[in-house]
Amino acid sequence: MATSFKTFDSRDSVVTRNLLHEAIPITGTIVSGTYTNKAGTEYNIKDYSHGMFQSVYDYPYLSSSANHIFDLTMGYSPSSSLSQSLAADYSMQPKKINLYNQMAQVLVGFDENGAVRQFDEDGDLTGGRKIRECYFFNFARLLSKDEIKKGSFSLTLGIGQGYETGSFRQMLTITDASGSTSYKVNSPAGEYGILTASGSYGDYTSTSDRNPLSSSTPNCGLVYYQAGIAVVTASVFVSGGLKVPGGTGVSNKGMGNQVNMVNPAGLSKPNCLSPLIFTGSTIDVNCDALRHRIKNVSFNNSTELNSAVYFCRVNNTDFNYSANPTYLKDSKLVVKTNAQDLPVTYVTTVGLYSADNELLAIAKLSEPLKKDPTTEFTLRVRLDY
Amino acid sequence: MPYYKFKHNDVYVNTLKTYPAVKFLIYSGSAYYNNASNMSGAFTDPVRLTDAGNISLYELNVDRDYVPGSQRLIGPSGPDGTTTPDKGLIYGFVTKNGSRIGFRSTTKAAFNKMNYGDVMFSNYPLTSSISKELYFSSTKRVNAAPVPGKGYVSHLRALKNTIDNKSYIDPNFTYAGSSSVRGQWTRDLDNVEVGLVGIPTIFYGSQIKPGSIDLKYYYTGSLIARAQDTNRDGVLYETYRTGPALTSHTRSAPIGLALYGQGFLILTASYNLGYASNQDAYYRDSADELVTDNAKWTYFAQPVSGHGADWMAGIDRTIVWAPNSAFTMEMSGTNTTQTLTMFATAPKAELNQSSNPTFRSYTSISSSTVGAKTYMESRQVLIKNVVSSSYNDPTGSFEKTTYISKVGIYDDERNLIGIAKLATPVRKTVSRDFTIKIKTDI
Repeated sequence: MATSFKTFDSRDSVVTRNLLHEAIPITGTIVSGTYTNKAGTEYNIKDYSHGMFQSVYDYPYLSSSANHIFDLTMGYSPSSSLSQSLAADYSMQPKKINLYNQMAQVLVGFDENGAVRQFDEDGDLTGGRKIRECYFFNFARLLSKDEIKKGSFSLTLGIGQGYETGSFRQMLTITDASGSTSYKVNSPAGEYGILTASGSYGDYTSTSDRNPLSSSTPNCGLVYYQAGIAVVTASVFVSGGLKVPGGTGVSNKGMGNQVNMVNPAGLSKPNCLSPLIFTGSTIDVNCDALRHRIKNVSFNNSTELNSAVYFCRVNNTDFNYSANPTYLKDSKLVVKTNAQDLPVTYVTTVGLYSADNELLAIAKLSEPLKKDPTTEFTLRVRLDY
Repeated sequence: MPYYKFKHNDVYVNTLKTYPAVKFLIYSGSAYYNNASNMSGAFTDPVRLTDAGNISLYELNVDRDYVPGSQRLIGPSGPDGTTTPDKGLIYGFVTKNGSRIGFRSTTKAAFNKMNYGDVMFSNYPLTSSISKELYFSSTKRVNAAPVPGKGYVSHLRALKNTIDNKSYIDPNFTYAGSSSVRGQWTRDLDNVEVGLVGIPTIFYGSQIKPGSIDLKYYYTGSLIARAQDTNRDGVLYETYRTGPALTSHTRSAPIGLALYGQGFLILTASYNLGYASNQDAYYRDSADELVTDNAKWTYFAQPVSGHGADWMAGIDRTIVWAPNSAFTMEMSGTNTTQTLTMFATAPKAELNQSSNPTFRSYTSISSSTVGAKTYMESRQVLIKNVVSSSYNDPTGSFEKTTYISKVGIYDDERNLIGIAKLATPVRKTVSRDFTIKIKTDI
């Protein structure tokens, strides 16, 4: 029980904020292929009866050790060319459109007429190209924590044309390389970065298949840092769908300046994932197809640590006496040998009290500090929350 | 929307206290927590990267393999010092700055040596497990004449004040007893053989529930002894044993103490348990040789001990296996959850109007007029009659009726801070009043 108190003034406390990060690697073996039985059942993938998304776990989800790592779904805009035909001809079209609209209204918001905005390729909502067909990666809060660290997101996809002949012969690495310096803030869901694609190749040595892109890095999606959601255009799987703005791409990528996923007629190379699967198959089938083309997903997350730092200043004349019962024996200070000696105490604990002298918190020193009238010090007490 | 202020008796906080069961099985060098087994995964064994007796904080790296020397990166490569390597595992990192925040695994010297802007790493899993220390009568508890910087105090001696402070509960709670009243020990914990079992707080919460400890000692699968806190005061007594009968004094003496708040068991009974043939290799001597001995309470949980006879000298012994012995340690933890309960009252003759558009009858009359200085609801708008009748049409006699579907909780400044939704809407008429009970854990 303290008997003497010292009041903090405005210079004795400060609030700071720090960022704690975690590196989150998600290899393709987690996302597909590892927990599969002979019948093809993937025990770490949870499909739902509503069929609107599927959940990916890092271990068979019936195990208590499993962690939910992300949800995967897809959708397209009502203004996409894919949604122009009769709904009856397309699988789950209303749900795919609803999903797009739901994600768009949360992440992009509404325009001045109350209409849902579409995802924009470069974040400039006043115009430009829109992402009308896309895949959505909703990362679990367990992994994304407070936010995905800007400039750390990476997704590598196999975009080789044949599922069986080697979808990873060509690869596309999608990053938010510019996210740490040029992120956007015009979203109701917080800050977001522009995802850009760069090409690479696997073990396939054919020159024509080496790089699926020209030398530039076209925009191919958005990553919402606080929401923990990545939006990737479906045109990454369309041959020519990622043509570089300006129309200078290689000849067999001749899709015009579209991020839209449209059926590329007359290409010399078929699409690795046909638009037909996007429209004609269920959301689960589309998610399965996407998962089997994920080579790697990685990002760093951030957690805000707010700290209040209290500088407890012990002046030379302060706290040189103790109310501890062991301080006295036979009415004498036990730490003094002679009556003329200076009073000595050992500081072991700092108590933080409210204005009403209620004990709120206790800070313990790792070892007692000797205190007498010839010394003074400042104890720095940090409270994290 | 009408607002009602909670009255003094409308809000209260109570505490829900729960006692989760905790069980450890200790056998062959391992502990098993709540009967969990070690599962092997596709890439790692065990799948949680830690033993089944350990709690893995966050449990993030499930079936993930460490990739030493990986050239992969997390995200795009950045400027020098900002690139994060992909080691296959999830790990934490923080940058050293003026706040001096770091990881506990980073030593003070290493932290001070770092430059501001350098990155510190931590590794998952962060684990917690039970521990066992065996003190022989000759084991030093404290360095009586320490050289500066070389002093040490054993964990057992560090509990001296804690033990002595409980002497008001039972005279057996004494570190160095001298009385033989009521059969308690005349022993000094500095001079007798002691087994100290440590249970981290993450396993039991705020304290071990008094009286819930149940220790069982098995030899080749057969129970040879059992100890419990029969008086719920922290003093452990043997409640079952096999083998030769003990003297009446030994029989009535406690076998150890339980510190419920701190999570320690102090086992002091060093007489033989079971029969003379019940022997096992319980510890290693100073030459690191396994030593075989009879079963004793001080050897309880010995397979999780990483220390031999003179661990105080800094010699970390290999874990002993004691292949013939198994131990179970059962207890209940204590968790408290604060619950806020609020009573929201819908009085008679109130809350009979809704601003929901469906509350009105469909009409072509404009519902409001807006002028330069006025906004006036039309008096001609009719309230829809939803009173049921035995017939499809007309409806029953009109009565103001609303359906309460949710209750909003607001703070002093009328910020909506919570919504309680009813499972089904409740019909509210002028003559009815309701009290809705809202509970939330805090």
